Amino acid sequence: MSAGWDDLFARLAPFAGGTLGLDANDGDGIAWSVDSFRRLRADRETIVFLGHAGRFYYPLWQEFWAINNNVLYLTEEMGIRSLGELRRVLNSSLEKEEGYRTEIRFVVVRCRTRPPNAVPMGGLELDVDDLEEVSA
Amino acid sequence: MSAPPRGRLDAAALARADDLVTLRTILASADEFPGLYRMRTPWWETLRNPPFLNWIALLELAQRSEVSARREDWFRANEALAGLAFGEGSRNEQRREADLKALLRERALDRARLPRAYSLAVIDVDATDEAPLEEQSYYLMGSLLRFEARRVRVGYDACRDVAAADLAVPRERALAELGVWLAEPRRRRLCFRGEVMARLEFDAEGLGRLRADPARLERRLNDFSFGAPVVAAPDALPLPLPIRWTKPLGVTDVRGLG
Repeated sequence: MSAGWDDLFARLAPFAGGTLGLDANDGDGIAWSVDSFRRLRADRETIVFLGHAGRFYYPLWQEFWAINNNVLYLTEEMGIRSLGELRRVLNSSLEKEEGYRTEIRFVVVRCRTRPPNAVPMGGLELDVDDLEEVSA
Repeated sequence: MSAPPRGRLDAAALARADDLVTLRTILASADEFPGLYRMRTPWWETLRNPPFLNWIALLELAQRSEVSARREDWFRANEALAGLAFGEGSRNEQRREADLKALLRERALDRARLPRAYSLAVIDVDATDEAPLEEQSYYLMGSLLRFEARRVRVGYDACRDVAAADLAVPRERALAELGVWLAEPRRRRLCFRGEVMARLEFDAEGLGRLRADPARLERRLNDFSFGAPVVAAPDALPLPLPIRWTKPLGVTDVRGLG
């Protein structure tokens, strides 16, 4: 297990049942916090895609755990095709359920090998102008 | 209560969540956010009543040599669920954006109109176990998990024997992780029996045929409450999505038709 995840689970134990929030990408990593779904934890939220060999993947950990979970349902079953539309749907849902909006940022982590435990994304057209890129 | 934990994940960690990390995130994700993953929502209560298909009705239908009905009959029961999700007073109607309301409503209705095949799963909120059984799938967070001897299957479709992901975590270790990240009594509230038991396949004329293995269903007769609802999810992708049962489609008990 990588050091980052080790640290996360070591700190998390008393808070199991919360929701993971990825807050901001500063080029060096992404800040995380775990809290109740119902509390705004940061003005910004990051959603991570994984890129490898011209394809994009969505990590399972994020599908289950991120505050805006079930992104795959929106892109693969509900036909949400663009990042702009995805951002609108996610913020609309947050607003109606929780009463707040966030600045949603999309990051693609470029991987040298196919990322494990991630689902290939077929539905979403990822506009590179709307993506921040980092390399793993 | 102390402050919620915070930290950092670097890019390498984000890209390479190994099998144990992924399992932990799944188990730790279980929450009781009303309306999404908790068991006793109006959806589940609605699904317990006619005209919805339930476990005993599916068993009876599977014994017949050929069961077919038109799409509108199979999914007539879904209109009640669609009303809860998208009708007047629904959560979708609370959105500010009129175009999104309409878009999401239409796309959701299309899930019952367009796909040629569906998985049918029995979801039994009343059936929990002391510990997950090896040959039984469990509903958690809109996914179906199976804790096998050498792996945990995520988004498992027992009818097609495929999963969204197979995590190489041995059963004993997986159950130990379950005890840590989803301890009792939360585990019993959020993790209960659920399994794909049949398929529904439509031809070009819109006639839908039930596909099930009667012998398998008979073996599983007493594994679920007879009144447990049977719901549908589209089979439009080569592999099932990891979370595909949070917005299930209601299926009609068609025993009385034709």
